[in-house]
Amino acid sequence: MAHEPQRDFSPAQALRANPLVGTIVEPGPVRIDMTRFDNVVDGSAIDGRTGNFLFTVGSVASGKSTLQNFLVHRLHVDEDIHFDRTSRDGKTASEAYLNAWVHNIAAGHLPERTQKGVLREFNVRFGQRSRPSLDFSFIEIAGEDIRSIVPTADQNQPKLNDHLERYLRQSGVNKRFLFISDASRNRLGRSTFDEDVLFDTLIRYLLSDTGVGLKSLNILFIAAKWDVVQNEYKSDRQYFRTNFPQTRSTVLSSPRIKAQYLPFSVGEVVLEKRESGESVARLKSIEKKYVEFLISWIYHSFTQRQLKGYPNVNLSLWRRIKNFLAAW
Amino acid sequence: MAGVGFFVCGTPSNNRGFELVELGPEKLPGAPAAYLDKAPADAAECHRIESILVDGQRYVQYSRVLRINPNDAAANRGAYVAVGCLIRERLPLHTVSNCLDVVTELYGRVCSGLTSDRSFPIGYALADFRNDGSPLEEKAAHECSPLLVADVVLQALNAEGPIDWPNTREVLLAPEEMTATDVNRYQLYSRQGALGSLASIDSDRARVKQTAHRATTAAKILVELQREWAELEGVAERLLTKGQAFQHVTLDMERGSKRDVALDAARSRYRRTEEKQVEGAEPHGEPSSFRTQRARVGYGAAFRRRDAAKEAPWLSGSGWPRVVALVLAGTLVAVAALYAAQRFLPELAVASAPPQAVVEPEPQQGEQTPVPPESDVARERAALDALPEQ
Repeated sequence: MAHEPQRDFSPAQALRANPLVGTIVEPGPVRIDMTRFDNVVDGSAIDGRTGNFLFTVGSVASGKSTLQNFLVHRLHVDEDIHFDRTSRDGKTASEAYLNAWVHNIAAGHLPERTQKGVLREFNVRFGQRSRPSLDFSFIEIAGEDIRSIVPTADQNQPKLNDHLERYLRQSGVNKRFLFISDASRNRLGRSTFDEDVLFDTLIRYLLSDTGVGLKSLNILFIAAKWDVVQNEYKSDRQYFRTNFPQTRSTVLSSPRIKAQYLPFSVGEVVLEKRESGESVARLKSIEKKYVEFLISWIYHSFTQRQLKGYPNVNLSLWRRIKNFLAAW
Repeated sequence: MAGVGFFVCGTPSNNRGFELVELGPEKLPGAPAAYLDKAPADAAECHRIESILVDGQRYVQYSRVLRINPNDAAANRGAYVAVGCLIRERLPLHTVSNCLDVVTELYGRVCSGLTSDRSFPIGYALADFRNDGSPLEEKAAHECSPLLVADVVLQALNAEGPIDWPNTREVLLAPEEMTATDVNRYQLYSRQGALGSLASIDSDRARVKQTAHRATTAAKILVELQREWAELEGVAERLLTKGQAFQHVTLDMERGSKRDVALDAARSRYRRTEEKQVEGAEPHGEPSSFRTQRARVGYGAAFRRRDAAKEAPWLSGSGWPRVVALVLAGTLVAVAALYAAQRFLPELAVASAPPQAVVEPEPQQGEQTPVPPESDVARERAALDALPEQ
């Protein structure tokens, strides 16, 4: 059954930036060009995979890469976490790629759009001194390669990216899912339900015997760019109830789905106009509470343990009642 | 023109993401998005030349890339538009130059749709872009390339070259009408140095290709000729066999007719003898029983022949017409057999089978196809047909 997340997030304006992680260097160092790295999955090492896997899915420009950038950045900068990049093939390209993420976020550069048709895999490990280390892998993939599962008039046969499909079909892989919604596209009363259709189609495909045929789904629904709409919706719960009616219906009707919901924001973002005339988003300060909840959810989801100093993802009865009342 | 595929791609819309339009003539290989979806790193506008590997085949991608602003988002996450071509094989210098010219033309048309803030209008989709002009393969194949035009312009600036510039007001170069000879006449700078060597290699390659193509065509015709020759031999052998069988039948018929003639003569003599015996006294010497037996035998044969004559009326009556008919039929058959033998036997005896053909590799797709040398085949055919009449 669906669980509600912690929802006592204070407004972004009231945040007190942690000097260790919340300040952005001015003027910003040059962005590292991520297209230079050749750590692209060629598909030769997918079959027979085992271990923990986190799949981040969502539509085009929903914020999948940004969220993953923040996840790695936070794991890197928190001294209470020991974080390690591992490599399955012995090459250092993936490690260099993750380092570039940390560098770019620290410099205030949000990631550029992910190239279509290209899939990258990363292997990391994190934990705390008195807690077991969690090894898990995650992938970076373009929204175009996920959105292609939704039938349209232009497509002959709706399908996911081939490599992603193969990852999903590995029976030895312990899977968790992050479904990312772009909240800026779901302003109150202006939703076109495109993401609802995508999520619902994807969930049905993952569970269906004619699709991937998973026995259960453990999903964290994330409303990215929450700062854009947080004044329009009373809560993230209302956001999902309003904009994802069919997805919610599928989740609530299936005992095989365990779902939680989370708003997500990166912090203060400003638009900078370049000489070439284009406007580029730039981070001015970093919000860490959402990403900490995300880290806590990932750790608890795979290990059933709680990280010390991180938000508790298990809700008390009182908090559930409070959430329920807040939604109405 | 083979081995070139033109395309327009980019991300005019942040929410729609990557869009691609293939303009042909070749279809882009593999998953085009995987090697085309690349935003320029820093420069707002650039030419991109990239060597890429798709399904084990090396390609060269050339494109003109422009960073743009998305039409549905304030922030730019690397939106761009790119117009280019993917080239599979080594092409002549003028063709590559033409491809670049085509890309520039398309790029201009695509960019003309941009608004003042360098974004496409809301709702604009690259998928709607069409090439409405003349076919791209024709433009790329023109002998008159921008390289030649630059050469002539430089000649005009320096007042040198094959054109009498002091007395020439203008020179018109029509790409669609110019031939390789025209190009050679106008070239000056592009015929010298490394560029000239490259052009020379191109023309040599073109000649080699043409020769190879001709040799391949000739080999194909030879193979076809060999096949037809073998068929002809088979037909001749079958005809000979049938002719021999027919000859046997006619010989049998001839023997049969001779026997019938002899029997008819004997029957006539026998009748005359019988009549004499009936009219006069009984002849002495032969016993009556013996006579009776011979008469019975003679009557039996006569009855059998009479019955046969009833079944085949053309055999009835006197033997001479039958002989004449049979001889005529035999003569006709013999003439036919002789004609057939003359038609094919001399060829078998005089001509020998053509030598084994060497099939050269297929020429690259899109090469200029020369007219096959049909006159050789026609001559050979005529010679073969004329042989029986000689």
